[in-house]
Amino acid sequence: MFNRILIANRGEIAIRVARACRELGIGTVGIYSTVDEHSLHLRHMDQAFWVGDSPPHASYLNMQAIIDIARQARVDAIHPGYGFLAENSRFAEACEKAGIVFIGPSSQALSLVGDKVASRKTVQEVGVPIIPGMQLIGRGASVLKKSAAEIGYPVIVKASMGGGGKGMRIVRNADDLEASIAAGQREAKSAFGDETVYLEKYIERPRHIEFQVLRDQHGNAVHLFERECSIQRRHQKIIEETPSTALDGDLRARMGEAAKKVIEASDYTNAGTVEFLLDESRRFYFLEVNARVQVEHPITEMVTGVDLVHQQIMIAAGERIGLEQAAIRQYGHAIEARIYAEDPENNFLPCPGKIFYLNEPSGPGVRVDSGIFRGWEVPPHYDPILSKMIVWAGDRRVAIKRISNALNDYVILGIKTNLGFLKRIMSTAKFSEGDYHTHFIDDNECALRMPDSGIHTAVAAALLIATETGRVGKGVAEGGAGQISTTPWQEIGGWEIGAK
Amino acid sequence: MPYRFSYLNELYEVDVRQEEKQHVVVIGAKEYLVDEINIKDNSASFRIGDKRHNFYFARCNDKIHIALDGEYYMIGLTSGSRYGAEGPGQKGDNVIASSMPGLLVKLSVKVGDKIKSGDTLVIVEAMKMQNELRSPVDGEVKQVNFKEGEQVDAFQTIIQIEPAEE
Repeated sequence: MFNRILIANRGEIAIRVARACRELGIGTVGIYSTVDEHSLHLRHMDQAFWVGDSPPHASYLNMQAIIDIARQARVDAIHPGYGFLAENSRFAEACEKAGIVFIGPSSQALSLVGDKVASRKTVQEVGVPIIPGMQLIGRGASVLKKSAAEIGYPVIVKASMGGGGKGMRIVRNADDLEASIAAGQREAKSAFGDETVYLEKYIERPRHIEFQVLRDQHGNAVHLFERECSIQRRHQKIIEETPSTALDGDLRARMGEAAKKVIEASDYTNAGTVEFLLDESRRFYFLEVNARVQVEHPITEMVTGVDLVHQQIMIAAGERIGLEQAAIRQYGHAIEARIYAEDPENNFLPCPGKIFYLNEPSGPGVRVDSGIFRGWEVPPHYDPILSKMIVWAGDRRVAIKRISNALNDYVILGIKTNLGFLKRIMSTAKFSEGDYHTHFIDDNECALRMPDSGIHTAVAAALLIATETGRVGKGVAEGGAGQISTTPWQEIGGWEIGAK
Repeated sequence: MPYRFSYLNELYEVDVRQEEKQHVVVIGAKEYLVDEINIKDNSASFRIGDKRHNFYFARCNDKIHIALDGEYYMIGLTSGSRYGAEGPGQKGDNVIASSMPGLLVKLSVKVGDKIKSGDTLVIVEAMKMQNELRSPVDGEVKQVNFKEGEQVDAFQTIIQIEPAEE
């Protein structure tokens, strides 16, 4: 087993990994950028080293600086967390060369699963379905026309170099195909400098369902069931749950076996996630492998009782997975909500800034994986994730209630967050019925708006109480009124509520 | 003295008075009985009818922040009887400001440039997101307050525009 691990990350995931290390009796080395000098993750590390300036490329993406610190601190292994260098095969290779264990798959397996074309080919060879048309990457326009008919409409034109919806066109009949390919090519050219597009079957109202897998260096593989991740904004998950309401025992078993086949075919070791799309006829298609510990890994831990970060570390140290597939069970229901520093009322734009009040929820079945504290200034340089709230309950109905109440109790003052938005999702009919897909947020726009009726009274009362404690008589506000500075308020005449 | 605030573009006049052990909150012509007020540090609770509301509040400079029943309200305070707007859209059509603090990564115009409505003038980046700020009007760039590479705060005026004559 390792003596010391460097955790090449920040925020809640660095803390999550540090906790696992402490539980296993392993020493921890943290790194921080200039702006993260006082960040919470450092308080969880035995030692902390400055890695570079605040921008990510100078710090958390700075491979050489990280390897140098690893050598200096004499660590045995590096845990990359998620994001930053987690799926970078060059970094995994640099660790291998420096004689430091990279806690993740080998650099070869990383480059294989990171290559869209190669990984789809590998997956197809072992009989796991992929979305029809994906193998057309790099073909010319005439080939595409013939293929569209074979695939069957609707199809989607996508840019090979693409991302973020640029160059994408949904085509519903043959007459529109040529114009859509041309438009997609123009957009791809201007956005990515490469006009190559490809076609694939457009899946209406898909669900995004992924399977957690573990595979050790001795070839033992297990899956730990699914995570339903269809609630997304800007193609990024914000709520995940397990079990999924879309699967039954048979489909679950088939998808789990497919996930295991995928990692075996890629000779992938350590923890990984195999992502699938599920269409309305309950056909599933392989999407990609996420070669890291996922943001949403805790919900799997809650229902299976398996600590995934412990498993990652033990697998990297060459140990066997001590789990039999048949003995792994899903027990109860878990939901995670990701708390972001962003404004849902303003296109989910990020909102860095200072947190001047914080109350994190607790209670039975409530877990908060958090990277923030009162008085901390959320820097603008990194991903806006602040923390994750995970609940477990015996059944889905109680889990939804539990997370709604916990979201109510989760208070972050000073910066805008998506807390209210997450709570509104929980109270929609579609979510409580478990009947949703990846377009949920767009389709439920009205139900997800900030409530604007009946709230005025309460807001007004809250305002007055908060500011007018001088006028609130003694005996009513006992015990707290004196602690609020009231002096300037009596002179202030105009307020407005800035919420749009 | 009654207080005024606007919410969702509606103006409210509110006041509070004490009657025995209750408080009466007056909003426009309506009165509400507010009961069981408890305040401790930054948190408080009260009851209206049979519903208990818990809320948290903090004050920062000219704003009061309130989290009530899971929702978040930021209330701007202005002195005297003025209650000017806070959001960028409400600052008037002649000002470009970012609604998020961040790094000014691109500044496409300089003073004197003629611009058209919809032109991208500035790109501000924060937390891996780029936000393009476009001109709301046709006109001319009157003033530029920042350079590329500088940090801007939310709602700080980055560019002032002289709108074209109708």
